[in-house]
Amino acid sequence: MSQEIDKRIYEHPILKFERRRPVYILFEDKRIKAYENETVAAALYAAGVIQFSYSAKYHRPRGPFCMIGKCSQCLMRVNGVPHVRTCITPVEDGMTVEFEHGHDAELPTPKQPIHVEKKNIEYDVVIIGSGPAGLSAAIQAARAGAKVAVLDQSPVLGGQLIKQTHKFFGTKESFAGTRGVDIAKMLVDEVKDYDENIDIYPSTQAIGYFRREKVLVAFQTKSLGKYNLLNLKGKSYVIATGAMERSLVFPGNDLPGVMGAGAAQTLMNVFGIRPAEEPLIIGAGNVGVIIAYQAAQAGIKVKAVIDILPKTAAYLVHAAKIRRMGIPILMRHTVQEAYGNGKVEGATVYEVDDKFRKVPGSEKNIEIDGIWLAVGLTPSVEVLDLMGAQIKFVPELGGYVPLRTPFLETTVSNVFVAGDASCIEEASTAMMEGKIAGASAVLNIGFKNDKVEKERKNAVEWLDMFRSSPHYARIKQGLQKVLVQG
Amino acid sequence: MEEETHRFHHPAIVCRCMDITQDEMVQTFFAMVKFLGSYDADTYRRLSGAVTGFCQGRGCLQHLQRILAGKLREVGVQIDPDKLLPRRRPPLQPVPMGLLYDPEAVEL
Repeated sequence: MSQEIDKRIYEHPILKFERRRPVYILFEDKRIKAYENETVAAALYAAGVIQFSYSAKYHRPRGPFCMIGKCSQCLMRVNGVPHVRTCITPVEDGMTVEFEHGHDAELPTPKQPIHVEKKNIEYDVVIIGSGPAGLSAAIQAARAGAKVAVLDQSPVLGGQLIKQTHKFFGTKESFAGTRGVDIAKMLVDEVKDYDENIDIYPSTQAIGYFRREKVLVAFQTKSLGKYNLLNLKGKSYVIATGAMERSLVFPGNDLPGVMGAGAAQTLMNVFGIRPAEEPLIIGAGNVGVIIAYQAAQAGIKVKAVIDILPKTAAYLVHAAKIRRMGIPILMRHTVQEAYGNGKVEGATVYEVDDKFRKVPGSEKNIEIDGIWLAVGLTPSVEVLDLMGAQIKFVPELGGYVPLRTPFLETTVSNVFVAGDASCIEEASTAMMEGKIAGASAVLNIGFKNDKVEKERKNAVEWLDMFRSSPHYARIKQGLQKVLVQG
Repeated sequence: MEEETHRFHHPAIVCRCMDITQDEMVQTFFAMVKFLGSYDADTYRRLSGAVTGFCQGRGCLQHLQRILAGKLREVGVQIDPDKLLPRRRPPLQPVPMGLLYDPEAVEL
């Protein structure tokens, strides 16, 4: 019998992975060990399974890309239910998991009946997203005495903070010197203090907003086949849906093993799993180099970090750190193609000149087992778009973002935006935006609270101060384009 | 390098959900302009299939816009990027069919 593969990390310089009760799942008739707090996708990765499906048209092998419930590449057949997002589905003992073979020629015929409980609930404030922005907004709104609902598609609160193990920069207000994981814990604890006011809906996906009825429809997965269908009516809304990692188009970009750098970070830092042994990271911005460093902490040997720009956009501290560790940063390099049979086995990279043209003869083959893309993020504005908020293309802020007032109200009254959905920035600014949006969401609908109002004023001032640094000049310029007066 | 000559080249995938390659996107663009004479993002979405899959464009919308704007620029047409957003409709996420079925709502 072959040696059982276990990609779990047992020794880590700063993280301790708490694994709950071991359970077993059945993947294509193979017994796989998992732990109760893991998701199906994580458990498969830990067992060395990186292919999850065959694609719809060309039947190409595919694996997950984003690991946070946005991309759909992790869809599998679980317990007979087709198209289940395995990256946000927790494992259960005895679960059967099968490859998904395309998704075009099959009626969904679940072997188990569906139980749906329908609920119509009214709230003062409905918040989508439980990351730094969403939770900060919830705390402010609850502090003023409002009844708040927080929806998140992930089973755990904290958004992407739960995978950020680096210490934050900035000032005391922005939790400088604290790791993202710890900030997440602090926020979640603070939310618990208001549990009379805040209803948390984990594993809940917003599927639509109906403008005439002013109803947000969402569904909560209690377990597979058991759902709550929620018709939520909020007097105001805070949309803190975050962002999605960008992909890059090159031949072989869909091979299993090619994933977002944030996805790799989720596997490494949340679940303690090595997604690859020798990856290539594309993009030497802050995300790219921070993840290269965290990969090294997880015992992964990053082959190289490449970037098409002549100069890294990352903080020099971070870049210097990984250079010292001997991880090469190749500037003016980009990827030509990825190759491999059924999974990534290598990539061809080449050098570019000042005009981003290929330098002839500069192709190099690198043997790798993963490609992590750190090529930027796109704000997730789908819900805002449905709600009718006016959206504008502002490259400085990461793409399509809603117009907003200084208090973050969009062009739809009582609909607010906060965090990466408003502009790709940092967790610290997301928390401040959350505070402003959460406070405005309650103050706008008639709640009065001096403390909350003062907190909002402080947050606005802090953001102004933070963004006045030359490092954020570009963002400030972008924000001018989307600012409207309320 | 000898093995280089035998290497199998993979397609470049733009839309993972609907399995659409970069080449197909470009072909669809030309077909759209030639036969329909229109070049808006909504038509492009319907014809190509991108942004219609499970993830509802979370991964491919940027590429659809890039290809559309880029190809138009090649023929001298400038398009306002704000007009490159196709119309969005619910559901935003894959939904189990039985979830939306309401046995009491049969009467019209």
